[in-house]
Amino acid sequence: MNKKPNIWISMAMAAVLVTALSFVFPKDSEKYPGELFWSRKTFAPARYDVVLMGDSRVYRALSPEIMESQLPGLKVLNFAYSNGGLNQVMFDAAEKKLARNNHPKIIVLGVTANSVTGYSAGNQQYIQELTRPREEVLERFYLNPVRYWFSSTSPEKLQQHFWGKADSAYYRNTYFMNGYVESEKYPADTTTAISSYIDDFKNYKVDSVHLQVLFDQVEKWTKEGFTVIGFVPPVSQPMRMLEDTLGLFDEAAIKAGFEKASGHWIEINPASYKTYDGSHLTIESARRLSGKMAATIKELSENNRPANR
Amino acid sequence: MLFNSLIFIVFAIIFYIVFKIIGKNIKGRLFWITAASFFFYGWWDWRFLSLILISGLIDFIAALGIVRFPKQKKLLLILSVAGNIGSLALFKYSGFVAENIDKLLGLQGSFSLAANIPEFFLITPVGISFYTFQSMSYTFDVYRNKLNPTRSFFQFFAYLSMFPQLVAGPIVRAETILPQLLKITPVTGERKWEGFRLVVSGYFKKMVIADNLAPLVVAAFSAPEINSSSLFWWGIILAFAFQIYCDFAGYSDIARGLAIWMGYDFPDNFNHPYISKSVREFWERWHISLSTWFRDYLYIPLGGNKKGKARSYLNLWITMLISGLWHGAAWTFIIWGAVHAFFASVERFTRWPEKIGKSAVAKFVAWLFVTIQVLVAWVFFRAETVGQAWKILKTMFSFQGPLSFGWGLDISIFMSVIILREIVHAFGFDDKLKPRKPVFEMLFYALLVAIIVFFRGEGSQFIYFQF
Repeated sequence: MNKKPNIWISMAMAAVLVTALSFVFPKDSEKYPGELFWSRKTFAPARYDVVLMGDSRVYRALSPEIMESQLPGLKVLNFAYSNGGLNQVMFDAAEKKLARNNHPKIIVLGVTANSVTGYSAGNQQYIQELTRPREEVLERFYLNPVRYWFSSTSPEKLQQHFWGKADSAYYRNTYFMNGYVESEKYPADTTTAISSYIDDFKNYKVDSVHLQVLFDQVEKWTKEGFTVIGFVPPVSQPMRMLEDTLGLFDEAAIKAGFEKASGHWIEINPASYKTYDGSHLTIESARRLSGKMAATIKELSENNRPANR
Repeated sequence: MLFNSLIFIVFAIIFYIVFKIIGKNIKGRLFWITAASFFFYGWWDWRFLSLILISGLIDFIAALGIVRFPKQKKLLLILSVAGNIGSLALFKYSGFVAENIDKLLGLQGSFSLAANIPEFFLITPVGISFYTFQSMSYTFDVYRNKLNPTRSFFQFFAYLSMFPQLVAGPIVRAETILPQLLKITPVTGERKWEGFRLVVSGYFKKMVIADNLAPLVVAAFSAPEINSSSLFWWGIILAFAFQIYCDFAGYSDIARGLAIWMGYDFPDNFNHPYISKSVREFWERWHISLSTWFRDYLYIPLGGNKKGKARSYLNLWITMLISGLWHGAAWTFIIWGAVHAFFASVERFTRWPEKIGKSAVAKFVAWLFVTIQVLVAWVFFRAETVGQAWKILKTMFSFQGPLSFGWGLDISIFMSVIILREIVHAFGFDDKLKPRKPVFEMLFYALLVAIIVFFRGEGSQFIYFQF
């Protein structure tokens, strides 16, 4: 051994220590995959045939993986964001994710009460991701897989990991890099989300200005040959009543406007789906809805084919 | 570019590889240091490179002029100071001054001065207070015949913009660095290790201690009305005291370590300030490069304590108030300076640290008293508004609520680590606890690296960048 301390030997010791501890210490399966997920979604290249838009009800409900399995040859991106609005900024951003040339151009819009009010007009999460410093985005792309392996921890987390009891209650998110988040909550409580929505609708209501922006865009896209599909992501019955009454959400009117703009409207029966908090679908329901959406797109594509020829 | 970012690590690797290749070519070194440092700064916002360049050029030319035209030296000094203070005033204080004039005169709407300041001038360039002060000290020293000005543009800008200390100090003096830049000091194995120790301990202070304490402090100050327990707020201020110390001292340590790897020496910027037993001692241990700057370029030129007692108090107050203002364009910083000036004045007037005696109990009482004073002052430094600071102080001294800091396990452990470190130093155990065998020393720093990797807090900007 050297008589004087040496940086390289010390660093080698550190490397051994860090590697050994990385096998023992807990991994943060939410933070690092989550950060990478949002950056990849935001900076996804223009190569998709189907782009799904909306808010958290959409990115927790429609799995591109399941849809692609039923739509051979089509690439699907879930481009929904928390509080994601259906407004010009998001329409332009979504359009840029579609593949160029002769690829099919299909836009699926999950219309929720919040997405057509002033509440989501700022597209807060999308803008935050879009304007994130380039350094941070690069780090997320290239360092997060390493960071995940060497997840930061804390004395409390270690205590919980090594000596704590397993949580009987939990809320887990699994991030899929095609934009879908599979969410699990135990115990499920379909009233959880209600109170925050009551607060939201005190200040924001669905209004004709926001709806007209949506209808105009649907009309523009359909004129350009896009297939545009609209639907209301299913929620619990009390939530739906709250949105209809306090938020002034009227699906029938939206459907009429949407179809008038030559969009396709799919009616979803909320009673067939379950939520874990009143607002977001359980894994099983999300999978079924993804299958249904894929089947609808397939049907529309087949119906359109002869006409296009 | 933050020291705790991937891009900085890439930058540093490239910098040191090229620096090694350049070897003993002094001109090459100076050019490379300047170019790399400008890139380092420009990464944040390239537009403000022109500010360093202009502010530096003014001083570079003024210093040469002072020697060449001795009769005009006062005028040239005034020009240099006006250039530096002018850029500080424009970019750092214009918004603050305009807001206060608006308030005073009741100006609103299109008559409001603040609303009419171009947006560009409302961005405070990172590190502006550091490099303008560094630049000014150069001209002052040339003016006082303490230093010969350099004729080399790259030597001057390598000194002014050297990336390890460009944005958050230490504020190095030209007389310390300029001669070093013209020498080739071999970076021996021992020096490399010294640099490594400083870099690792700097990252430990910043990423493990400061970044883990930060969320608690941020949460408390963003909603101060939520908790009205005295001990909770003492705990928060104590946590902030160590957060800012580790954040800033961590940066300084990394800067010094990086400089050593280049073959240069920066002065120590912190010397365990929280073991001080007088306010004066605190300022001899806290942000030493700034305190000595104010002492040498403001307090002493004002007359120091050689123009009578009353004048010495006035000079003290002027220095402390400007020091507060240096930290930020807000009344909270000015009051922070005033609070320190008040405590220092009381100390100077009563001479209590000398009178209290030298017994262990007396030392402990002195330390406790000074710590309380420093913590009280930190409330103003950290608070968003003066009103918020008063409310927090009122709560701290209301002696109510549960007997708990409310730190939780994580904060308790991180605070214990840093407090223990200070106790070890205060009682002179540093040498006794230092690993005797190199293998243990290497293992100790390897362990620190592992702790940094796994116990890193949420990455955040260094607090002093904003100053």
